[in-house]
Amino acid sequence: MTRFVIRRIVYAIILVFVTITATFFAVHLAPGDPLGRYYDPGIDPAAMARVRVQLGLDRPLHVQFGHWLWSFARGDFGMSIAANRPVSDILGETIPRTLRLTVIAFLVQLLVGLGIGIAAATRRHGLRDRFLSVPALVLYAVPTFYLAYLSIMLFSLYLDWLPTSGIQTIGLDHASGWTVFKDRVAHLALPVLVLGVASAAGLARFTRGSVLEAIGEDYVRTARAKGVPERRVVWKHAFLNALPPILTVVGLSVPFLLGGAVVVEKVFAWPGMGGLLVDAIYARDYPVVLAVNFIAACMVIAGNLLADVAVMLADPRTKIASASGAAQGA
Amino acid sequence: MRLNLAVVDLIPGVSRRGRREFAGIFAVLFYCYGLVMAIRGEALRYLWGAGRGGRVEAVLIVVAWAVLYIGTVTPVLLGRRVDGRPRRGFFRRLRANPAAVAGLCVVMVLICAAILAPVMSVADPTAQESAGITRYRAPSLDHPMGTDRFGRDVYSRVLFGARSTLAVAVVSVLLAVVLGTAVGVMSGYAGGLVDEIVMRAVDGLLSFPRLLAVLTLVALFSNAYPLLVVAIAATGWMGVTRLVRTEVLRVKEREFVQAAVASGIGRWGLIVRHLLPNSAGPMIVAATLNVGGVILLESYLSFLGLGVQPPAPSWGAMVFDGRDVLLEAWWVSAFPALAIVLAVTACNMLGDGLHDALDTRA
Repeated sequence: MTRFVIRRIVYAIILVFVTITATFFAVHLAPGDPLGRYYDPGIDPAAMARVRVQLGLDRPLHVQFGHWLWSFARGDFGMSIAANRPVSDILGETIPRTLRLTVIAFLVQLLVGLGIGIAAATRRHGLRDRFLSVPALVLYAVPTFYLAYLSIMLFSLYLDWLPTSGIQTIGLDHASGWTVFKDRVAHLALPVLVLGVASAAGLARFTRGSVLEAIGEDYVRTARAKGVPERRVVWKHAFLNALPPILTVVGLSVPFLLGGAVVVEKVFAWPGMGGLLVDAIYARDYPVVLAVNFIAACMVIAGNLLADVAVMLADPRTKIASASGAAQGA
Repeated sequence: MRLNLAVVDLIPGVSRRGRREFAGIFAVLFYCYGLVMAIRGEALRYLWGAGRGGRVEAVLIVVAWAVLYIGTVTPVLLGRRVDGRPRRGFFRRLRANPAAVAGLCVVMVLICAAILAPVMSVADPTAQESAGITRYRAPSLDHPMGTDRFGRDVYSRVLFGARSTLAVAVVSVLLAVVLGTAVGVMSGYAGGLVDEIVMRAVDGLLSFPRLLAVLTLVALFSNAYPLLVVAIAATGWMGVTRLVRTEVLRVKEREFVQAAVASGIGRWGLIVRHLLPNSAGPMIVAATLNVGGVILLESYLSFLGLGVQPPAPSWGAMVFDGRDVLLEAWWVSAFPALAIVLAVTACNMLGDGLHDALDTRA
């Protein structure tokens, strides 16, 4: 177990390194220049050259890479060229916002996806199955941003229950803590709902298939035959056996969630990592692009690692396999 | 009539009897188009759509889809069976699945819509008649799906949008399948350290958010059609690699492969004759499901302003264009959104159906 986790962490570190290296060279080799926005007929070319030297952009690429990697390893993300602020400050503002959105959406996805999947599987081809599976199939195919616009239309414009966008009502900074909290929850509700439900559709479809497969197994029939209550059959015999592949899929859904967050953040004007990345790419703000990609890679890899450990805990076979020292790579 | 037969003969996954049922559907569609053309007094040369764009895309869709399906279905039918059971039940199982048949029908109709866009449309998709007067017209007989901000006909744009959207999706999936298969076969065949390294790399690439990766590539370099397709393909081959590798590993240990090796078959002979055909099943499933996924991905890129560029229509960009007038002119975004939902749902249903029909355990 410990060995397996250590091994995965070593892989993860190699992976993150490869990812950021690839990103570094892709970003630097792409056409465009972080100083492009300052070009202007009135500006002195010598001054531009001086700024270039200051930022270290005049040095050969491999030197820049080594320099950047060294400061990166010491936890220094550098300065944002466009915002002229330390990248860590910017990340310190945006990461919590994106985390708040994605973590809660992840929980919603888990709850809704597993719930619908199990509910549909236990009444296969019944009315309940149809009422749950068809919407899941359609939701899986709706572009998230259209879903977001539709939900804004319904909940904000027609029903007027929730705010349309943003993270907090403007000018609320001096209100009491409780008011601010309520306001923030209201702003959070729609983005989380859209992101969570949109991601839940795929999970629900997969869960339904896995649980159905498990329900068809002989041991479930045996359990029913010996008089185990149906609730226990479903949860203990069918669901627990279907769980390992479901957990793997949940782990793989983290990158989709992050991708979806970019879209949802844009619709709801949520000032998170998605918008930061898009703006930084356009501004060729190298340090920010690299840092955001690094954080995203870390989040995804952490998600996968957690999923792998969860699979191991849920599936006794893998536990035995790793205990006996057998290679448990994939 | 001859056109019917030609088109119908190309439908994979339909047996003799089923083909007649499909022929019926296509005959009806075909005669409807004939009627429309006759009424409008236009000739078939319109099919090539002089001056309306998207011709290359239309050809690409057909060619790519044909290569994808013929290339994967033929080995499924002709290839040596792994378990010694014939694949004969494949078509029967597929046809017995109403969701799969419905998915196949919708996919075929969408491809036809993309090909026949110049004939089926009622206006030039980029023509802005007199934008001030004809903008935001509600759906009517003249404009079946209304008009958009510039007075362009939404129905015609949805049809031509099928060209650009499907062309991106199908071509990039074809590339991804070819690349993924090549890597998967190589990795599974070589085994050992090569396999370990390749699969680690695949796991790593798979764990990177695809939208972020494509976004970064396209925003950094260019969103010209070829680069868009390459970027989407470059981020989508890993799933295919995993599937193909699993199949290759499973087949490699079989007796018939050992027999082939013993009888002196070469490395390439083994790969081409035995390993590739036996991994064709998962390839076709992955490809079909992927087409749906890429349609969605393209819509997200369009939403971020990086997809197919205006004035060329694409479904994602059209939905995005309608965002400001959701209440006043719902039709601007609703119909392209419906097209996306329809296309993706159809691909998913067809993919699931293919998966079930190919599943030997069932």
